[in-house]
Amino acid sequence: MQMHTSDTFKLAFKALRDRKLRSLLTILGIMIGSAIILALIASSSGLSAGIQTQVSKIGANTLTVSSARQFFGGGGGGAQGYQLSQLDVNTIKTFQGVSDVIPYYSQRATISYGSNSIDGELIGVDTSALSNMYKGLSLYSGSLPDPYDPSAAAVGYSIAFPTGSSDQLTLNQMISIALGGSTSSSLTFLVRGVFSAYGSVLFSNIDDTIFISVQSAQILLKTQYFSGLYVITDTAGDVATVQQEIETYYGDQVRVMNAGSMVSSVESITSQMTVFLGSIGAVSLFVAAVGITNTMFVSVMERTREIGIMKALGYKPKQIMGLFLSEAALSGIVGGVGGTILGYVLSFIIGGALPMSGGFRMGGGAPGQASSTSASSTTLTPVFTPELIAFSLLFPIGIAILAGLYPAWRASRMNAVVALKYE
Amino acid sequence: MKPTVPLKHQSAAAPSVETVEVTKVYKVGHVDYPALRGVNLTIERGELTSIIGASGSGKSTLLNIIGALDPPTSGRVIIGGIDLRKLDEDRLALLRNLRIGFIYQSFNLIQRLTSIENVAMPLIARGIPEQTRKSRSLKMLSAVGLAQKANKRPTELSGGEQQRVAIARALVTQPALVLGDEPTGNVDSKTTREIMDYITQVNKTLGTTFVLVTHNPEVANTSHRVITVKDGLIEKEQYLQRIDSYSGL
Repeated sequence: MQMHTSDTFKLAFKALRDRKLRSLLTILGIMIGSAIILALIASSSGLSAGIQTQVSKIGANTLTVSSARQFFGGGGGGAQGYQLSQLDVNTIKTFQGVSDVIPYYSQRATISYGSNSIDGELIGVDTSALSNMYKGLSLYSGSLPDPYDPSAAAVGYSIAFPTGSSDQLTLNQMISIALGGSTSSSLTFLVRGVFSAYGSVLFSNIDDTIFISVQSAQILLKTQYFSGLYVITDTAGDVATVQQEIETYYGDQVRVMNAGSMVSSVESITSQMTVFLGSIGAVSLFVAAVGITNTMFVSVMERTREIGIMKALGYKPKQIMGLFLSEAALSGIVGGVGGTILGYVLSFIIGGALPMSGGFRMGGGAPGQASSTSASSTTLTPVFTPELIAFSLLFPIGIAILAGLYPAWRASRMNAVVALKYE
Repeated sequence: MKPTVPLKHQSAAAPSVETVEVTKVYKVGHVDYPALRGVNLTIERGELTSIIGASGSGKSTLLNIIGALDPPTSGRVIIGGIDLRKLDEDRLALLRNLRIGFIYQSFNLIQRLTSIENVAMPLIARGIPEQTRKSRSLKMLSAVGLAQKANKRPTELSGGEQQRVAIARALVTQPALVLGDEPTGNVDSKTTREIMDYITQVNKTLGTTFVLVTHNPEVANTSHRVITVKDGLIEKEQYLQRIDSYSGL
């Protein structure tokens, strides 16, 4: 003697279909709310995951030391503040737990050969130490440049094989490097090696980077002061003590960062962002919920007579309430499913609009010098966990039912005789 | 008019409808409007009764109270032996669904549903499976001569057709009691005759009790008994014919 749920939903569906435009607008409201929540959370999780992947490419036993002024100025020498030199390399090497200190130069540069002109990065470093700095970085072809050959260089994958260009680099080809901002310093190098595609590390895209020896960089950049130092510790457990040692020794003249602390600071930023963006979505869903309540009230009022008829035909109050709640739930289901699909698409659009390159420099991960368009920028890949998908599907349904609760209850409590007389 | 003959109790079973000192007072603001002022009425099973009276006499109120749609202010209403005071809202709904059919002057069909869907509405509330529902509803529509309009919506039907759909809906549950509030008020005289012929036929063959509020003398004359309500009281009861005088006709 119980009304079947399928019948309840069929009746609810017919009622929604009867007022197509109004139902669609209500559903659209839910869809947008749900889509925004999904897209924003997936994108910010994707951002977080992307950053963590980059950070994790630096070994757990690695620290970066950079001059504190770089936070404001960026780039090579010349600016005021403490400047790192060979003396500092030697000093830090003596610290307990330090296995190696690798100094490097880093500067934005335009790399040109043939018809290509690529905006990338120049890094001057002991190239034999590269595999210590970037885990898993391997040669695609050729060999590492001889540290004592001032004209030898190795380039990232995207420089050798730029996207959208038929002009590709061959080994031992000559390339020319112009430093960012000044055309006066321009040098030519012979490409001895090409690295396999690697991606970004600390927002510095290895695939867009040309590596030369420290000595060559010193000449090219006309400075003996390094952009930063990579400090490799004996074990990952030494990282904290070495960091403390360096900070004690230099005070706030240098910035010391390690992979772990970068991960946690990134996590705290992105989790705050997720909460913030999620609440924007929640607010829009709340607005949609108010819309549902409003629509339902209008619907209940318009169908007063119908409610009276149903009462006369022997529908129980809870069956009438069930009918109206099913209408709200159906709107929620359609809105939730539609919103999830829309949000899925939307998050990739957001991901495409926020390429994950530039912004931070290799030297200490300091923000400041935003890069212009790179040859190949890493795009943000949204992260969809099963929990997030489930939430995006079910939350709108819950919200819709909650929003429909009071109007549905009002419908069920209506006086049959009064309702039947309603014009 | 046929001679007035008191109706005999048909069986030992409880009467279809019994009201004891039923009153109904409507409050508008601080003013009380008594609609019924102590109605005592017994309607036997299988009886076809008309209630007549001027507008505002309380006849519709009485019908709603008998139909368990409106509780009386005081007094008792007993439907098929069941005292309505003892039923909660869910049980009252169940009673309406199982035992009572309603026919209204304005048909009260749900506009977005087809004829067959309208007829099936009371069966949905009861959880009857779709196939059974469909066949019963279609059978009911055939009985009122509208099988070919099963998939039409009320707006595609004439007034008379709509009322026949409404009658099919009222009878699809095979109720013991059917209440009509001016059932022929919105249809022409030809349709009125058709409807009354059908009601009389159902009354005779199935023994369904009918209580019809009406202004139409033709409807009143078709019934066994005519009850005149005036100022919230039964003014006059007039027996037109024995129930058994119909059988065999």
